[in-house]
Amino acid sequence: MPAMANEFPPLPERIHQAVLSNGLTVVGIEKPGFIRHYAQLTVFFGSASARRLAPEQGGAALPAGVAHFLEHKMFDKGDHDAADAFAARGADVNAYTTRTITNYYCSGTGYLQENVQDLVNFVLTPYFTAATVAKEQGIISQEIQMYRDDPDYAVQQTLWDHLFPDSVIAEDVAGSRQSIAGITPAMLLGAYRTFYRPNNMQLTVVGDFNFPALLSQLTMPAAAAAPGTVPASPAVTAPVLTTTPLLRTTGSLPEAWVGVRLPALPDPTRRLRVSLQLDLLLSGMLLESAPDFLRLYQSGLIDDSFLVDAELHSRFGTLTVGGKTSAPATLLKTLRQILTPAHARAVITPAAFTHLQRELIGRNISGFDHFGWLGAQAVDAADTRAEDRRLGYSIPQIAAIIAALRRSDVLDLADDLFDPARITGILVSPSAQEADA
Amino acid sequence: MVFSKMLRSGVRLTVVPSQKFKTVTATVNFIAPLQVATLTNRQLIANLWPVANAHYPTPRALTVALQDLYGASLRTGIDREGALSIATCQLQFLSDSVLPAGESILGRALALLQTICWQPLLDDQGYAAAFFTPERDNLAHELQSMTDSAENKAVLTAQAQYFQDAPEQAAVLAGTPATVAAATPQGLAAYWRTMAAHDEIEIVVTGAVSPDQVADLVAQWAVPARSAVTTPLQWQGTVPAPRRWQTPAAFQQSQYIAIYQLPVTYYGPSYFDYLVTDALFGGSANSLLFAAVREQAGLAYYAGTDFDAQTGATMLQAGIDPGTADQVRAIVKETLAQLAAGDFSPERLHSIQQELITNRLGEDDAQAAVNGRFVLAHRLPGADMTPAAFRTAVSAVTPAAIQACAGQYRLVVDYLQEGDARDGQ
Repeated sequence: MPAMANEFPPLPERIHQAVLSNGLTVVGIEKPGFIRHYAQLTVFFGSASARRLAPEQGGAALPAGVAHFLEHKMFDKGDHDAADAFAARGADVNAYTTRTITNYYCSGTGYLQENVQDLVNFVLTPYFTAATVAKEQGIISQEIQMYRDDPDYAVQQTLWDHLFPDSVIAEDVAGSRQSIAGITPAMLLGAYRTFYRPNNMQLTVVGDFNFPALLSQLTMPAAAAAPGTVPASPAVTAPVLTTTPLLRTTGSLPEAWVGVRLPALPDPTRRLRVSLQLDLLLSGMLLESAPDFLRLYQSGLIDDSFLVDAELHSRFGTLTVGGKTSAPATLLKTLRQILTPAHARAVITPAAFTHLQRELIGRNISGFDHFGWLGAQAVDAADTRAEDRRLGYSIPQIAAIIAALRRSDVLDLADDLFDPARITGILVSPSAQEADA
Repeated sequence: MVFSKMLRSGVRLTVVPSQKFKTVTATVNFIAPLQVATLTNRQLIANLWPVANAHYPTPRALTVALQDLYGASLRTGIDREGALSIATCQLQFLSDSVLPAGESILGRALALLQTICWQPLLDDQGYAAAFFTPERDNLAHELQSMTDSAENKAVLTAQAQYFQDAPEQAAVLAGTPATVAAATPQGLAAYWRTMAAHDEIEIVVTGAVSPDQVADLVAQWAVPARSAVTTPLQWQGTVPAPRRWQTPAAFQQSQYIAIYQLPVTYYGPSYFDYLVTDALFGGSANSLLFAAVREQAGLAYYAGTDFDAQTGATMLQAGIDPGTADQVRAIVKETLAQLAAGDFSPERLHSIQQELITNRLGEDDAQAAVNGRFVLAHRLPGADMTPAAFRTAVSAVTPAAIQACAGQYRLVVDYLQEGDARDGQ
């Protein structure tokens, strides 16, 4: 039996959170002895968020790619780049946009207070002009072309299109060259005032520091948007396209992929439990330690390109499984056979479940050494139904939650998820030849 | 306090105690001269470590052993460090200090690492086909799909030109189609015996451990003495005459690649001068090149350099719009001229120096980075620097030194892989 989480000595990390008067949630994770610090300011605005301005901003529709465009433009302050101040202290600063969030982050050694303050200052201070927006359209067009040249792009995009037909969820995070061509400074400002409200943000700081001291010195820039209601992200309505297309690509090897639409999980505590159960389920069924993975690998049906990727969010979730293969139709059929409740029961035996649980507890404790993992946990724990983005559960308690999970929980999840109506597949061929029968 | 001891000739143990990590990371490094003929074999051996083991004859058995160690993480791979090849087998597991009272897995974990490294599953035919064949096919697939990416295709073309007399540098770590096709179970087993007997061994353990306890445990490993590898880390081959050319490619973007030869050696006399110069030129998001190509001209999403003192070269890479290469070339030339003329602000130089110092200081928070640093430092005493000494060396680089370095950039490869600018839909 795995040691229960309450048998482990308490982790020394102290995790704090506070909600400031403007609604900004601040999370502090103390890491004694670490030299580097990390801070992220997460805006819960991504490419699959509401595609419309708030009523007081005019309510106009927004094009695909606007969240990502905004991320690029926030660094431009007219007479300087926001990165300059970080660079002067030897710190890194960068950002990325996903379907659900825009995450601005910095990392450095020393000057933690200054770096965190500058992170807050530049994200909470908009500056958009026609000339700089036009220049950014050129840079982002290059970025879009770069992604389009990635041989995996067309495959992954097709999977999203089948899982979420006619939904903004499926659209590319960066948009297209056409969609970003219509972006204007006024539109960016409207989007900023709609979504970059402090109560729609979470600031997470990780490092060897004193949380109360950090908070006492943290100030908010005057240009920050006012707190208020953020438009809700659209719900998924259209059913999954379960037909299996044959996609022609420029890649050199055939591929097969299965996609599963996972449920929307707005309650963060429920989302965490499902996420942990899914982790155990996939580890037992398809990850490198699973008997099925080894069987497929040794039979030559899959290679190192085989990928299992799951995302769980408040409004949607996905599981994608697949990779390069010499026999795409055979692999597709095999994956469909594996992703069934009956197969889960056969593979996740009581003994296997015990091993998987022990493994997941260990991996969770190891995660506390990794700042990026801690930052991701803070984002996952946010309750986007609430007025602010405070943590919905205690991160150090995750190990105890894993220890309390039962095999039956995991098998029940398989019953819920592996419904043929939620599953789609894609065959990928590098030439006009037919896939194997 | 770092503990370092030669256990036997050619076998060294280094222990870096630290209480701040939740895990212990133990790495066995196999070091040999880099040769194109052995690239594939070394990659295959690293890939077979996690699956073909005599003590755990099924991969499932080894998986369960790792799960029982609270999900110990096994990572294996090959690195190219100048003229050397380093095969690494690394086990990361929970520190005893975070386990329930009275429980210890340190001894079991280190014993497992030794078993994984030194007890491959071999029979009269060498590695069993059930394990060997999928790994060889996997490498073949990797090579076949390598040039599906515009960036990889351009980089490999440029490197093949620059290292035309050094195929071991031009090839990817998996080898070449010819070396993959030539690999056999018997040949691989024979190579493993050579590697096990002759590769120099560096074992590095970091985490909340007692050096004496680790030394006692590792001393029991049956690893015989061997000679030290005498091949210098620094690659010192010749490079061809400069060449400028372009080829069409069915990608949306164009890829511009320039490789410059630099008179620098890894931690040699002018190492820090070139380290700072190249970071200021293109090796940082705060570099002059990134600012000029992306921020000012808006010509590229990415433009930067990758400095490699171990081969004395830096590679410039930019993904650009078709038809704009000459503009980019002009900006690159102007940027180098700016550096050579000392036309850069003290503030930008200071930023670059601070960035390099921060990166070095931050390495101490990553156990894998600590391992890599000690492996190299033991071969190059000059590289064995404290953070304070590194800071001093970087801070001491003057504008005059940068001007001198910029004048030494010799363009050897100027390659354009011209895309066809289809629409971005």
